[in-house]
Amino acid sequence: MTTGTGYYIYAIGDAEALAELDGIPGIDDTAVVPVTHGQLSALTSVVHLDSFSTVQQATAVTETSWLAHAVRAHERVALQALDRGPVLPMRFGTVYARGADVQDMLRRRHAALLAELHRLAGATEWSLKVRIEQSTDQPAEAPSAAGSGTAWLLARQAALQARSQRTDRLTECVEQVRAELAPQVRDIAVSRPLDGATDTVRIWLLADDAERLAAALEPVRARWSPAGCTLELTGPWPPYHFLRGDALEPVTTPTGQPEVRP
Amino acid sequence: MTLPNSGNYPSASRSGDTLADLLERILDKGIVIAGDVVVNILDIELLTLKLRLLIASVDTAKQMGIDWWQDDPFLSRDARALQQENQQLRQRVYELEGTAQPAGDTQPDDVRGARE
Repeated sequence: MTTGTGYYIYAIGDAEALAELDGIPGIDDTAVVPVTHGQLSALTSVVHLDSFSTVQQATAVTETSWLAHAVRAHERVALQALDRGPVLPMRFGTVYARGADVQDMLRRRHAALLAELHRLAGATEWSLKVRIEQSTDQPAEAPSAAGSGTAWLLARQAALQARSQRTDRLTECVEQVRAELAPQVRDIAVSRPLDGATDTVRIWLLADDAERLAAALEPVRARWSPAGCTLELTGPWPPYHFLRGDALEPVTTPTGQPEVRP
Repeated sequence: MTLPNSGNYPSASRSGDTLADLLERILDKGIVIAGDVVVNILDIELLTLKLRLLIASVDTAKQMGIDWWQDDPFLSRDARALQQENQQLRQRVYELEGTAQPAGDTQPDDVRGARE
């Protein structure tokens, strides 16, 4: 069991813009404190480390669990930062031992973090949930109550076939939507849902112009809707899916000491 | 520093984010400062795997082909009916062949099915 406290980091952004967020509630309703170095601030708050240990042993993740509260607090702080300008959201669960360590990290990585912030300036992340509906003209999966083995097998076969066709249609839809929206956005990423659902795929879009994205989506949506493919757009979100890791790799001098990247 | 503000959008589109949506969006994403001394409090990979298992709904599991309960006589009426039919057919075969049903052939499930 971990004991003690640490400095949790929510996001990094422009020091001036984030100064306004001093004191907003974070995890466990503890006040958020911007830790600043140069032009950058990291939004932090003090957390109890044993809360995180409890998460590891959790048997259920429900809306009322501590994890749900912490994840929502993380996102709420990152969203408030986003409302004030470009932001680099941290991965959930990043904690430094002391505030001085956070400041040291900002000092050593100032150039790389600032470059990444400038690269993402003006763009926000959007989530497009692509879902394929279950066709109504397909036979029901449940076999008839009559209990004929042949009928059951036929129904089962038809259901499996329908499922496979749905998956193919979803793949086709995702490919086309991706191709059509690509010219309208800066970057695109695709991911499968965490829960393993086979009827849904997420397309992540890094967009400069939300209205242009929404307008470009309309004809695509109209085309795919009759085929049972629904498209749900939400955002703007912090750019979780478009951060470049290479700018944040450890940098060392010949003496082995970490240093600010040139 | 002058960076364009990126927050001039209606916030209405942000509503309706379920916990599953949120976890999917942020859980293993975001900046990781490699090589720094960070208190390593969360094994994110482990946690992600755990969440993946926990938030998988019955419907999802079914789509993934995890539908063993459909064939479990305790959980599915159709399976029970099939078990019963199977038992009757087997009995009929033994009768036609003029042999007695071997004692070891009666599985506990068959017995349960026949009694329903």
